[in-house]
Amino acid sequence: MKSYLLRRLFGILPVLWAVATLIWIILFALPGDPAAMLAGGFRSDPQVLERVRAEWGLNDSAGAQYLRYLARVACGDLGTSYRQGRPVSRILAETFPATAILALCSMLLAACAGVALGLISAAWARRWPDDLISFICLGLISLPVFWLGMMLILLFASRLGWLPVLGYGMEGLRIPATQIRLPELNHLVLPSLTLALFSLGAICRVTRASLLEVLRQRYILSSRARGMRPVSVHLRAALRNALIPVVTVLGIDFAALLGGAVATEFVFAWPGLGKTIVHGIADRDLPVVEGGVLCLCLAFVLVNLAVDLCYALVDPRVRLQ
Amino acid sequence: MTLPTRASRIGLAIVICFALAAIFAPALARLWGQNPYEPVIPVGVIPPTAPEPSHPLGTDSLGRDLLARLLYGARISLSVGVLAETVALLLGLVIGGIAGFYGGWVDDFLMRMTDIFFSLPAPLLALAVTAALPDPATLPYLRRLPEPSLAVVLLVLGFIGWAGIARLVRAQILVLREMDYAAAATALGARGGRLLLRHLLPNALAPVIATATIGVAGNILSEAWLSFLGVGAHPPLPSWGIMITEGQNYLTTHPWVCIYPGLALFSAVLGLNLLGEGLREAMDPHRFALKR
Repeated sequence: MKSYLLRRLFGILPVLWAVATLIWIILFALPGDPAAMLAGGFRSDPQVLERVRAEWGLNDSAGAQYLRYLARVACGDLGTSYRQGRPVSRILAETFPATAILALCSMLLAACAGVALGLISAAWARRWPDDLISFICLGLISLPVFWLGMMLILLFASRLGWLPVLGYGMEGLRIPATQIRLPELNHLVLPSLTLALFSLGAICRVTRASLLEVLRQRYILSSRARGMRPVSVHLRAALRNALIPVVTVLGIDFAALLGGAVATEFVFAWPGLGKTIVHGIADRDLPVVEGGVLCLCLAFVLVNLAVDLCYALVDPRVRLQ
Repeated sequence: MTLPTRASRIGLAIVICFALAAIFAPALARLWGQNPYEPVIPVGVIPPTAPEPSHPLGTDSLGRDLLARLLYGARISLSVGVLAETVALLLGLVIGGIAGFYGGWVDDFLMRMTDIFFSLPAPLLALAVTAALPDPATLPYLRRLPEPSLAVVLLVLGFIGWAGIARLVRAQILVLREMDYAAAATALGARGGRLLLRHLLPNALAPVIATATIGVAGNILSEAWLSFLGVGAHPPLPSWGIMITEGQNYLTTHPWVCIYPGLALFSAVLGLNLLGEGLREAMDPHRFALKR
């Protein structure tokens, strides 16, 4: 188990290296002069440009720059925001908790609702409840998540007035995750509902397919023959074995969820990483954008590692070696 | 081959409708005298207007006809979706084909590369790349294209989306190259590239097509998402994503400016997903066993 974990943690390194390299290529090798970008409003002054080049080591060879960049990233130094003049890592650390809360809530919501709908769908397979749920799920998969968020705002916040529209306000950026109190939680409802609806479809479909596969197994037949009630057959005998592919999809879908979170946070002004990234795009503040993406990539890779470890919990036959 | 379910036939009908709307957009827009690129009232920002005979779905905040822009938006969505998937398909076929056919270290290397690409969150990568590129109109080669910003989006989506297809193709080739007809072709003197290109890859295409159809749907959503975030298509292009962004400020007062582009996006993607599911089912060898 321990050696497995170590090996998997090492396996993450090439992935992170690939992302970091890609980001380096984006920042320094693509057309456009990074010195001009760093100099901002002073880009027309050749003296300033020269000084920026010397300061950032832009006169060195590409290889030397690349190695230095990798060393910096490995130490957690993601550069300095052009706009805010603060280290990117600090900006990310401030905004990450909000994103984590949002992602966690919606993942939980989506997983519970998705598995429940999948169970119903499989129990009434190929009859109208199944057809209805399948169609709804395909519909949810086809929805653009940012538009879904806007429609929910329109319905629940603007027309019905049940819920607040925006994230936890202008002060939100300064509230640490540990100090979020109950009144703030109703700000969480709409964004996490949006994201949950978005991921629910895929989870429900996989649960259904996987359950139907498991329900054909012999041991299900024998459970039925021994007089187990149909509900117990589904919930106790079949579901646990059917959950493995569902857990995989939870991990893979997390990429889409993070992408959706970027748009959702923007729509709901939720003060997380996603909103920071979008504002970084608008400000042409590249280090923030790329650092944010790297941070989300890391979250994605770690979640997938956690998913693999979960196999052992869900399925006692899986030995991690 | 017939499509197996009613849902998939509905999907095909939706896709055909959108394709026709995209192809005949200028002719259709002319029916009620519209030019979707020109604001009817050119000065200043005005509130969108409600539907009326001369503007069947009303106008947007620059006085442009909404329905006409939706029709032109179908051109952008469908062409970016299909072309990006074509790029992904070509890359996937080449990489998966070579990996499956030659095996050995070539296979190992290409599949490790695919694994890395697979374990990256694709939408975020697309966002990172498109956000960092300078104005597409200044990029070499691309600036000569009619719409450089769209070219960037479709290339980025294509270059990020090939990993799944490569895996699928490789798995197919591994099976196909052991088939008798491959041995027969080899016996007749077909070698290396010819065997792969003329005999194996065409037969590996069937399951790939279903995946690619669903991929087109994903690309359309990604394009709209990127445009919504401000890094995809550039205004004044009538991309559905841009139309939703532009309507955001009028969400509570003039909601239709947001609702219609979203509905168009939703139904196009739904149609493609329904069609893709149907194709997947039609090509599934276990289909007959599963039938009621």
